Amino acid sequence: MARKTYSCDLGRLRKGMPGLTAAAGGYLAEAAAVCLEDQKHTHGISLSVDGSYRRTVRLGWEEVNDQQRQTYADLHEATEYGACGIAILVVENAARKVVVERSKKGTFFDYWVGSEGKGELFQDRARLEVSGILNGDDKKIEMRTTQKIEQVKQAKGKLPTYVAVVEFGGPKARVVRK
Amino acid sequence: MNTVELHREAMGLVDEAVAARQHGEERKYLALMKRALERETAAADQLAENKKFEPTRSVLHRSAASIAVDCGDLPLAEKLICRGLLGNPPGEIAEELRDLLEQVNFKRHLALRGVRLDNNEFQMSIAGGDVGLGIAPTDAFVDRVLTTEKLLYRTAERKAGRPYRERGLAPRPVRGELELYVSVPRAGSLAVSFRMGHKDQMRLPGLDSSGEVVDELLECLGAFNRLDQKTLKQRISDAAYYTNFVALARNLAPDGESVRLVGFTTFRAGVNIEVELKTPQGEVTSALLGQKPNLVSKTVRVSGRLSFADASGRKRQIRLGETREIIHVPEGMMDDIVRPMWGTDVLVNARKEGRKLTLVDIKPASPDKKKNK
Repeated sequence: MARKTYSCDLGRLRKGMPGLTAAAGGYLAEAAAVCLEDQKHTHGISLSVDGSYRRTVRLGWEEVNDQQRQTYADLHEATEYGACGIAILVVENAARKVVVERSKKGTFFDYWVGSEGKGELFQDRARLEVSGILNGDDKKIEMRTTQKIEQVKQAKGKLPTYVAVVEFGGPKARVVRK
Repeated sequence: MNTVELHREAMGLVDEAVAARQHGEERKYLALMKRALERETAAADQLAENKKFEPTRSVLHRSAASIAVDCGDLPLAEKLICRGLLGNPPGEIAEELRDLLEQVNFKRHLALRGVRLDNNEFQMSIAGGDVGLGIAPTDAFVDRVLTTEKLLYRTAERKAGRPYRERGLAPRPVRGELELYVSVPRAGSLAVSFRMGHKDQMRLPGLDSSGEVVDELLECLGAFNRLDQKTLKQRISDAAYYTNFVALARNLAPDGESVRLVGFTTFRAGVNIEVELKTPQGEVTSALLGQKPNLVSKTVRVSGRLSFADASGRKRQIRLGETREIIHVPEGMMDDIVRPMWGTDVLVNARKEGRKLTLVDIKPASPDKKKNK
């Protein structure tokens, strides 16, 4: 069956969500753009999404300048933040869920998604577990997804979770609802 | 303020802090993070006795503890983690609280715990699933000690302006300047100090002190951990030294399971300089060497026993087991990376362009099958 194609602009993140300030969204958008351009992609590239949702998302963004490249010189960090930005957009596009809360987890944030106006803090919400790969093949995406799903499965008292693995070389995203 | 307001204000402050750090404003970062810590701790305090309000109770405790770690307030982080675990956290959050506790302990060990380091000394600490208090698998530990020694020698030779040495021992002045002594392992997670010997009559031209080599090595390891290819290439402009550094540093990095954290500490001008390697080995090579498969090349995997190697003349080639395919080894990898795998069952990632195979990385097929060093 033919995949449906959607369009998404990273600038959407700059508008913020209930649990994501416009400033934080802008940060994720810039990091994602830096990673995409690092992999030689240009505005309009197709992101292939599979897993629980199959579709193609045409990505748009403003061209990255030298200052931004300098700001995100730590590509490991940029990959993590950028993957979060892409994952948030894909989950909004495919599952109609937005970021409703965040918490601090290690160096990065832990994102929780849900429907606006429902639930309180982290109650009755789903986690968004994101992992970023700057450049890797399908095997690496598969390995990373399996690893994340296993972590979720092993835990007692499971929380509803979206596992998203974003790879910038393709670019590709695998989103699995658990 | 209620819990929701406190938490949201804390997250806003963390956002501001991250932005400040990106602009190099470290003081502002710390001040904002301290304010965020107050708010998030207050939010966690409000739910401390409400053990049924999960996952919110444990998530807020983990979040506050994480901010406390960033602020360097390790005792507070420890208390918050323990209090978070005392409730009924869902399994995933409980695991994350335990991981955070491991990090807190690791940072305590990086902080030297009363060990005083001289200018020619530095400490290495490792932590992870298979590393206990003062005990670690020999492979995980000894391999990293040997790799550290190789990195020091190569860094010294590069700093002294010597061309890359493809084979043979490090020159005598280097070995004299940087003769490495290792302390008795301490109960860190597992920590040892390295001391470099110093023989005045064997001074290496172009090199002021062994401390300079350590400083350079830690700067490069910091850039390596950030996958900051630009900085790393600025510091190591020679291609062979660069390949060698990335391949050795990759062996030093955590494997993600048995060793999850590797850290180095030096003591300069009254303060500890710490470098933590967190990027797992598997994430490293393609990101730093730009080994992206393209239209004319693809990555292939080959396995077998490393039983043929030819480093005569300008050749650098290996062959695995009974296979006929020759794998070319890039400059900078034969002596330090390939040779220790001799006679071992290995897994090789190679780039294939036409019929030519070029080594990208090589590792033991199974960690306990390594025979020769």
